[in-house]
Formats: sequence, structure tokens, C-alpha cells
Amino acid sequence: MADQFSAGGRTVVIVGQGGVQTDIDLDTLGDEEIANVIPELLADYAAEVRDWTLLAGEHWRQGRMERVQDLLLRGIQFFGGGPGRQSDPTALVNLHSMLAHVHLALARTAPQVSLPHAKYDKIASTIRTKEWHYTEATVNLNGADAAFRASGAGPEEEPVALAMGKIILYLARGQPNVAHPLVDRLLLRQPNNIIALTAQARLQFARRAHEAAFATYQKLLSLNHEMSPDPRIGLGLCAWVLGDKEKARAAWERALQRDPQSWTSLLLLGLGSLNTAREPSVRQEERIRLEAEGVAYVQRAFKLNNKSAAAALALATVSGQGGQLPLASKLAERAIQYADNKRHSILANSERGRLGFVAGDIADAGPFIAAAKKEEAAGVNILAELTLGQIAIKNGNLREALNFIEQTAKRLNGKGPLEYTVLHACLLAYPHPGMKDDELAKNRLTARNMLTEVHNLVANASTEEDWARLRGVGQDADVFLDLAKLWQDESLDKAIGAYQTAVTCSSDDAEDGATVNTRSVRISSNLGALFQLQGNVETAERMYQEALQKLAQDTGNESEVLKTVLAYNLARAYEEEGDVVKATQWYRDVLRQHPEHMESKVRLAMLATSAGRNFDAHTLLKECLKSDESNVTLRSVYSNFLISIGSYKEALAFTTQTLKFDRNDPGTFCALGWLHFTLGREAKASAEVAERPKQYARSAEAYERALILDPTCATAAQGLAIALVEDTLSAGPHGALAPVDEAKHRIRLAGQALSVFSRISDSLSGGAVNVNMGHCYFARGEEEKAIQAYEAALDSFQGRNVSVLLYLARAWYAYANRESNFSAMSKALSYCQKAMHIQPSDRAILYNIAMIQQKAAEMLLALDPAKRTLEELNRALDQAQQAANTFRVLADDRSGALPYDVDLADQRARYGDGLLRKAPEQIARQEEYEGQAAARVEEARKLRAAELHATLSLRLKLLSLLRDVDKLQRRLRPSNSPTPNAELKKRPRGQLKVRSGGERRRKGTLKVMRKVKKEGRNLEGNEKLQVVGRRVGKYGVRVKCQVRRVRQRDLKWMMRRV
Amino acid sequence: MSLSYLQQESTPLHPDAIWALTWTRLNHLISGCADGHLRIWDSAALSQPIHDIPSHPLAITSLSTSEDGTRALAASLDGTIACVDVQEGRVIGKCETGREKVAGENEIPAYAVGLHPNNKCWAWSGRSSKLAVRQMNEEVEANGHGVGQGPLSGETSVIDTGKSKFGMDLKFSPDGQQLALASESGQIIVVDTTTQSIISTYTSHAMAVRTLSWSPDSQWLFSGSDDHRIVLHDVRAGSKTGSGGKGEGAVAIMQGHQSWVLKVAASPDGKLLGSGGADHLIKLWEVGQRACVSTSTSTAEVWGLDWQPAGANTFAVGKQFAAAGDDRAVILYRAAGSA
Repeated sequence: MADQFSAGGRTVVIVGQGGVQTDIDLDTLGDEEIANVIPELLADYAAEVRDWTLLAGEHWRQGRMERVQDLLLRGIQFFGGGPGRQSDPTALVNLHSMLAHVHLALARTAPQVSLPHAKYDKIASTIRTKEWHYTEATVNLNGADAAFRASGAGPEEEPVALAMGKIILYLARGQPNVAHPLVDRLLLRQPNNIIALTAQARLQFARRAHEAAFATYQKLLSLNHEMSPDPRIGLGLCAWVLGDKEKARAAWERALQRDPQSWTSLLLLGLGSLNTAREPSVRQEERIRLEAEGVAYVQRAFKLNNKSAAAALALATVSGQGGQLPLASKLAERAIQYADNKRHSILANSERGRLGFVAGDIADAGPFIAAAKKEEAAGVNILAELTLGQIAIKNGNLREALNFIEQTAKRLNGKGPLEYTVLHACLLAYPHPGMKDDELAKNRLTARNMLTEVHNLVANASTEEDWARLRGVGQDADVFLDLAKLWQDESLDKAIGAYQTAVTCSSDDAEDGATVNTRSVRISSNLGALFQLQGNVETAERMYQEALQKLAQDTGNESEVLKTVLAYNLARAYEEEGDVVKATQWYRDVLRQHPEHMESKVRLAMLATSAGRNFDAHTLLKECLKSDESNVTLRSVYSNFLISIGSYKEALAFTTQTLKFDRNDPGTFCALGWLHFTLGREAKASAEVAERPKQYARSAEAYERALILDPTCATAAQGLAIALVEDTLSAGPHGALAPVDEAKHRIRLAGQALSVFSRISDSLSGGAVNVNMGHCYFARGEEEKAIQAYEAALDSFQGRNVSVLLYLARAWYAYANRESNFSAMSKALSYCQKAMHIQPSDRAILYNIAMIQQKAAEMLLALDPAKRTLEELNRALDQAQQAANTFRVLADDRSGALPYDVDLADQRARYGDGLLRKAPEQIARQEEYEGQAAARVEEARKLRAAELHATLSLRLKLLSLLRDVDKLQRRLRPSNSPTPNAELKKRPRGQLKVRSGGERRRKGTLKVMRKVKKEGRNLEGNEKLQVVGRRVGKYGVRVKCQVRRVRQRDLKWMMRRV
Repeated sequence: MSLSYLQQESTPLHPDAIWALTWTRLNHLISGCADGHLRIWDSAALSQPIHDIPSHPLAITSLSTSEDGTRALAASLDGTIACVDVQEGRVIGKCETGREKVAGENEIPAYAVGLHPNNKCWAWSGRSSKLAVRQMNEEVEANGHGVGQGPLSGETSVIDTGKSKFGMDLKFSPDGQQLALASESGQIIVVDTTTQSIISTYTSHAMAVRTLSWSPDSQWLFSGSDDHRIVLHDVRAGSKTGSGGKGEGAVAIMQGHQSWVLKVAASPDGKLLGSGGADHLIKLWEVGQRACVSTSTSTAEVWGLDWQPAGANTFAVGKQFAAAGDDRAVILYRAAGSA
């Protein structure tokens, strides 16, 4: 064909039957008239198939695809045979193959689908979809195949065009497995067929045999380094997938250089930049640069080929982020319609759905999301799921949203991205109406764990990379507020942590705005409140003050509200800290602004009560009640007030009334329980005493009710435990029990109650539980434990609770009696005196003091003399005397109603006198005993002293002896030795022999020893001369000595041995 | 303004809590202990007491000394009152107020006791808030007789202060003209010692008033109460109306203690007020400014606090005080910078 072009210029000569020639100028082919007649002409001339394809090729080159198809169809018709003509299989093969290729080419730019619901990118209904073209191509290829078989040629003669057509079709239809053997077969025949090799590279790439693909592309390049499409693009792709991004970019850039119109290179470069920009490790400025660069590339690529789904999708994402929703939606729709693979289609669908949702058109988004999900039935499309969830949220179907998200979460198996986790957690945390309580609680727990993990990530994020990894999640204050709320009831620490993060987030937001961010102030105020709850009052104060300062200049409605709240909170903080003055000031301040601010008034009333100004408190509370009678909190404060001033009956009436306003407040029932119990217990008048069991029963009922309302109500549990241990509910049958059984029964009850008390002691602050535990232990006869419990209670009352002091005295008293322990009795006396010192007006305490004193004496008098001392006895007898006096005073008191029994006091006084009469005898006994004991002690002492003396004198003798030896050694030490240590090392043993003249043995020894002594004077302090040998010979005594270093320990040891 | 007073010497630990403490002009410190002993210390040598007097059967709750520092009067929980010669360390008189009918009426077991600065009479109160005032029996004291006829057996008069209350503290004014009584229900009653009539009644507290203190010029009366407050009363304001307007004399309220105020003591120069509380705090207040100028922390409740009197001139006035309480030791505090 090329020859013909060069020979005849742009003219084709068609030789018809009978030698008729017609010249066709290829340049005129575009003319309507000429083009119309060409097929007729070719048919008439019965032109060779070569001419058909040539002309069709020309049309194709000029982009006149209609004509190509038309011409080829006519050709097929012509060569298919007709009346009087044989069909020509070879020609048919060519023509069919060509037509198939035409359709395959058309399919490349044809839309995948034409969306009926497309909103922005509408495709004319005349445009055929890919699938249609593929079908056509298949039909033609089948035709070609049939013709080929008809021609009778062997399979290895199959034209390359036909084989390639099949390969391309299978590849395009996404059936690489079918394409693969075809390619292999083709390559077997033509190992260097460039097209086949390209196909093979693609197949290898698709099979993820990236390295093999890389090699194939390289081979292609070596075969024809000018070929198009440029194998460098393929090389770049392989390099990118293999991780060498630099190389990939270089390859694409090179390809772009060679062909500036290569939209594929542009697109790949752009996508490469955009992907790199998403890496968390990329710095902020670098990221912006990369993004801009990427977008520019992709845009250029899109301009060159506006049917590229990948480019459209990338641009849709970018412009969607930029807020150009219609444009982005159009691009996304374009991407969906022209998607050439499934992945693109899914992504484009979900992106389009998301865009629709963001644009606010939920109905619009639905079909796209559904499509995305449908296409990816096996995997999880997080974007689509998130959008679905959000659509449900937007529609108000939170339960539905949670269902979506949860189902997906199950499939994700906990590996979703942060955004997903956060949404899931927030939905879990939401108190869905109608959900079961236990399910809600479980969900809250799960949500809390999830958010805590996110929070940990945020809290530990320090580098920019960490923050980039967190994406926007770290800046969302609401997430942490949710988390804080979830923790609030259980762990203040954790709630505070979350709140602090939220404060950081919101203050980051606030920095750029000049106006006061009331939201961030509110968050800091809440954080302050948490600190206060935690007991960190000073920090709370600081937070409130700072928040107030921030608001100082602002006069908006919301800030006014906030100011009030902050002022009140600040006052509460001061109150908690004990700074009543400042607290009062702030409460008054609030009330000046808002005279009806009930909480402040209530707090002022509480302060007044605690200062004993009951009248003021009463006035304030009455005012509050007048303005809001139905406020249960207020009513409970008033009940409390009435109880604190001892108006139990009024309190009962009032609290009963409270039930009219709210029958579900456990606090009210607890108060009722307490009141009924107290009224029953304190009943004095006989009518009231008769009512007692009824009161107890009502008390238990109320506590039970409170427990039903709030199963964790420790106060109610305590009330019931008290009822249990007091055995107030089952008065009937136990009355008949024998006293022993009765006692056992009581002990058992106390044990049961104890288990209740010890369980609630953690959740109830204050000493009440400890007091109750003390009572139980006491009832069980475990005084030591009772004392411990009471002491703990006393600590929490800061030592100023008269009753607890008296309980302690009683416990010590019982303990002292049981153990006959005088010092324990003194403890009891001490506690009793403390109680009386604090509350001197209570004469009953004085009675107790006298009782303790008398009992102490009684106890000591009964003791064996060996177990007491005279001093103790005297002191106890003094006390007994005082006790008798006191009892006399108490018995003679005629000043009015007394808190003790006068007759008993009288008996005690007389008993005391009797006790004292025993005193002299006991003292005499004790004196005698102690006299004897003293004598025995004295004797023993003397004996010991004598022994000691003996030992001592011996020691002294020894010491002097040793001192002598010491001196001797010092003399014996060689005078020129530098240090004793070094000397000894050099000379292992200094030996020395001394001998005396021929005297008698003993005398001789002494003499020698004297000599030895003399020598020993030269020695150092820690050296000594040791006698190692002594021989008594004919001429006298010979002594052998050695200089030895002596450690202090040895010296002592020697002393003992000597 | 703030002052700094530093802890200095202290006595050894007492066997029990110290609930009463005074500092006399003779530079004696007297501590009344819960074991019923009075201990007299030389303020310059605290290592051991000069005298250790087992004067009472029960805990000593109230202690008062004459201006010259020779006599001390102390009461214990059971109402026994003992008079002590401070220099000799000897009990010179005892009186069991719980067993004596006073002026033909019921007994008044003493809780609080007060000694006239000139030693001419003494007063006590306790149950029923009746105030008993008894002349000192000087002649008998000179003879040195025992109980029943001792210096405490003089002629008695009873002042009924009104409603049934309990007397918690009792103080003669330094000029001896007036006697103040604090009650458990919060009232403070000031009585003229010569006419024995009530000058004024203050209801500035609603809870028990455990401690009173006069300014050295006898013009101001300080009270400390369970409501955590210290109130300064101007007694002259009360005197003007004769019978005394209720609460009119309350000049200033000093708040700062976080629990009961157990002891107040005005400094001899009248500039400072020392206070001790159940919150374990010792506070000093500048009377002119009515503001707290110093806070020290003790280890337990502070029941006793007294300044070194002006006459005992070891240090400049108002530079040294002693404090004691449930921590069982008397501790001296001295202004930073004074030698």
C-alpha cells in the first residue's frame, strides 16, 4: 500500500473487470458524493479485497468511522458471495477482522454505560456503549473465524489481525485468562510481534508479574525504541508498582518528551504526584506543591482525552474537595460512564454518591452508592459505607446508620480507617431511644474503648507526620467531648484527659478568630468542673477565672449565660476549698445579676446552715420554694435542712409531698427511709413507740423502692443493711428464742450486714459506713476491728464527732473488760473525756466517765498481783474515788431532766464506796507482793552484779596483759621498715630467738618473756609477737617468736581464749 | 501584709492533749493537760517542768491566771476547781462545784473558770449558764488551810444570764470591770463585775462560742465560734445603750478558719490577734485591718494559745506566743527577725 501512495501520490487506481480503471483521489474521499458511490463502485468493479481495506483504512485515518463501517459491511456483503459469485473466505477474514478492530477501537472511547440517572454528564442516546461494540466485534471475529475455517488454512496460518483482534477483545472484556493462551500462541509464531508483546506485557502486569512485565517492556523498547504506544509508560508503571517511584517518573517524563500529546503519561505523572502528596511523611508545603503539580498534569491529560475515567475521577476528587460540587459530580459521572475497569467504576460511583450527599441531595446520591456497593459485593467500600451511614444520619435514622456501620464493621474486622472508627463510636455512644439499657451500656463501653484508642493516638501525636496520619480527626473537638462524656461517670482522670485535648483543639480553632469563641470557653468551663469533681479545686478555679477573663469584654447573649455559669462554678470551687467568704461573694454576685438564680440561693442557704444561721437559711430556701416548688433538687435540700435542724416530722411531711412531683427519685426515697427509721427509733411517747414496727417497715419499703430505681444506690443499701442488723423487720418469731440463740442470731445478722457495708464503703464517702461497720464488729464481739472502723470514721469527721468518740470509748471499754487490760481502759477514759470536752453540756458523758473509772478499779482489784502494779492500783483507786464522787454528784443532781438514771447513779455511788473499802487490803497485798518481788529482784541483781564484777576484773587483767604484749611487739618491729604492711609482704615471717641463761624453768620463762616484751616495743599497733615455740633445755628456756599482723577481731578472740 | 512567726523551742510531749495554756507575767507557761495535771514551765527552759501538779481528777478544760502571775485557777471536766500558787507549785485551794449548792440554788458544775486580774474574786460557769462569782478568801489563804475552807470558799453570788444555755468560756476584762461569758448556743454576755448586772448580750454567732479574749485596753472583745468565724465586738458600743443592743457591738467578722475556732488571744499591744482552730491552723490577725496576716500549720487541733505578757520583757511586745493542743506539746512561736 505504501508503494502505491508513493507511486500515485494520493491516488488509488482501481482496476475493474474488463480492464476499466478508475482513479480515486484519496483526498476527495471525504466528499459526501464520492464517498457515497465508492462501495457501489468497488462492488461493480469487483475490486480486490486489498482496495476495500485500503479505502476503509483511509476513512479510518481520517476518523470517518461511519464510512469505514459502511464500506466494510458492503465488502463483507460483496465477498460473502451472491447469485453467480463464490464467497471469498480470505477476503472475508480480512474484512471481518478489520471491522472487528474498528469496533474494538470505537469501544475504547465509548462509554461503559449510559446512566439513566446521570444528572450532570448526560450522554446522547444514540451513542453506543462499549458492550455494544464488543458484541459487534465478537460477531465479526466469529465471522472471520468462520471464513478462515472455510478457507481451509491451518491454524498456524491464522492472520495476526484476527488473533490480535481476539486478544484485544478478551483483554478489553476483562478476561485475561482467555487472552493469555492466545498471546502465547501468537508469540510462538512471531516471537517479536510488537503488538503481541505489548499484550503480553499487559497480561503480565495484570497478573501482578510486575518484574516479568518490566522485562517484556524492556524487550519491546530494544526492538523498537520509537514505537507507540511508548513502552516506557509500561516500564514506568512497573517501576511504580515495584516501588521505584523515581524511576517511574523518569520513564513517564521521557515518554512525555517523546510525545507531548501522550495523555497517558500526563495522567500517570499527575496521579503519581497526587498519591505522593497523600503520604503522611510528606511535609505540609511539599504536599501543597505536589498536589498542585498533580492536578495540573491530570488536567492536561483530561484535556487531551476527556473520556479517560481515571483522569475524570482524579479531577472529581480534587474539585470535590475544592467545593465545586457540580463540576466534580459531572466528572464523577463521566468517570462512571467511561470507566474501563471495575475499580474505577466503584470508586467513581461512591465518589459521585458522596458528592451528591455533600451537595445535600440525598435522593440523588442513593443510586450511585447502591451501584458502588453492588459492584463490590465481596469487599467493603468504606467511602460508600460512610456515605450511607451519613445519609441515614442526615435522615434522622440513627439506628439505621448504626446498623449499616456495624454490619460493615463486622466485615472490616476492626481494621477500618480512623474516620470510620470515629463515626462508629459516635453512633454507638448515642443514646438511641428504644434501645435496651444493657445494650446501650455495652455500646457505650465499646465506643469508649474505640475513642480512647483514637485519643491515645492524638495525645501521643507529636510530629507533623503523626498529625498528617491522623488527618482531620485530631482536630475535631466534638469527638473528644463525646469521649469525655463517656468517661465522666467512671473515670474523671480519663474524662479530663479527653477534655483537655478538646480544649486544645477548640483553642486552635479560636486563635484565628478575633471574636470570643464561646464554645471553647464552655469547654474550658466544663473542664474546670471536672477538675473540681476530681478534687483539684485550685486548677478548677484557675480555669474558671481564665474563662471569665476571656469573656470579660463580650456582651453577647450567650456569653452572659456563660458568665453566670462560670461565676457560680467559681463560687462552688471556693466553697469546696473552704473559702466561704469568696464563695459567698460570688454567689451574691450571681444573685445580683439574676435574682432568681436558684442554685446560688440554695448554696447560700447551705452555707448559712453550716454556720448555724438557720433562720437565714430557712428564709432563702422558702424564697426558692416559692419560685419553683416542683424542683426536686431544691426540695431535697429543704428536706436535708429540716433534718439538720431536727424537725424530723416536718421533714417527713415535706419529703412525702416531694413524691407528688417526682416518684422516681431514689434520693427522695432514701430520705424517707431515713426519716421513718429515725422517727421509729427515737420514739418516746407510748403511742409513737407502738408505731415503731410500722415505721421500720415503711423505712425498709422506701429504701427498697430507692434500690429498685437505682440498683447502685449505696445509701439505700446501707439503710437496708441497718434494718437487717437491727432485726427490725422480723420482730415476731425471734422474741421466743432463747437468749443464747438470740445472741447467735444477732452475730449472724451482723456478719451479713458487714458484707454489705464493706461493699458499699468505697462508694459512700464520710464516716457513716465506717461507724456502721464498727457497730457490726462490736455486735460480733470483735472490738479491735470495731475500734479500727470507728477510728477511720473519726478521721473522716476530723475528730469532732461526739458520738463516734463515745463509740470508740465503748469499744475500748469492752475490749479492756474482756482482756482485763488497764491501759485499754485508760484509752476508753481518754476518748470519753475528749467527747465531754467537745460537748460539755452532755452530763451522760460524765456518767460514762465515772463508769469507766469505777470499772477500771474493779478490774484491777480482781486481778492477780502479778498482773498489776502498785502504781496502777493506786491510780485506779484514785479514779474509783473520783468515780464514786462523780456518781454521788450525778445522783444528787436535782436540776431537771437528766440524760441518765438517777437511781442507777446512786447505786453506782454506793457500790463505789463498797469497792473502795476493799482497797486497803488489796494495796497491802500488792505491797507485800511487790516487796517480795523487789527482794527477789534485788537478790538476783546482786548476784548478777557479783558475776559481772568477777568477769570484769578478769577482763581487766587480760587487757593489761595484752597491752604488755602489744608494747613488746612494738619494740620487736624492725625500726627501718617503711610501713608495716609492705614490710610484712616482703618478709614472710620475722623470726627471732631469745634465750635465757640456765635458770629454773619458770624463772627462765619470765625472763625470756621480759626480753620478748622489750623487743615487742618496736612493733606497730596492729602487729604482735607470737610465741610459736618454747623449748626448755639444759641451758635454759628458748622461745621462738613471730611477728604477725593482728586484726582487731583476732585480738578480741584471743582475749576470750586467754 | 503578712507576718512570719517561726516555730521555736517546745516542751517534751505531755502524756495527753493540752486543752488550756497561759503565759504569766513571771514568764511562766502553765499548761492544763487532759491527764488532770497542771504543769508550770519556765519559758526560757522548756526541757522539763518546774512543777508538775496532779491537781485535778479529770481533764483540765479551763485555766485562768491573775495579772501578776502568782495565782492560777483551773477547772476540770467533773467541775473540780483548784487554785494554785504558781511560784510554789502548790494547790492552795480546791472546790468541787458539782457538789456545792450555790446561793441556795442548784449546783453549777463548772466547765469554765475565770480569775479576777487583781485576784480579788473568781467566777465560774457551766451547766445552765448561770454565772457564779465568789470572793477570794484571802485570810484563809494566808493561813494555808485545806479544802472547804481554802481561798475558794468565799461568799458567792449568782448571776442568771437568762435562758438555759451552757457556759463555754469565761473571761474577766484586763481592767477587772467586766466579765464576759460565751455560751454553747452562741450568745455572748458581758456583765459588770461591780453591779453584777448584764451590760450587753451579743448574738453574733449561731453556734457554740468556745473562746473569748479581751483587748488589753478592755474595749474590745473577740469571740471564736464553731461557725468558723471570729467576731470582734466593741464593748463600749454596747455600754452606751446600757442594756446593750443585740449584736450591735459586732464590729468586724474575721473569716479564714476552715473549722471550729477553738482559741482566740489578743496580743498585749492590742495590734494582733492569735487564733487556733480545729483545722490545725494557727492564724494571726491584724486587728486594725481585720485581716489574716499569718497562718501556721500545727499537727493537731489547737486548743491553747497565749502571748508573752507585756511585763515579761524578754522580747518586744507581741513578738512571741505559745501554742498547744492535741499535739501534746507547748510550742513557742517567735516573729522572724527578733532575736
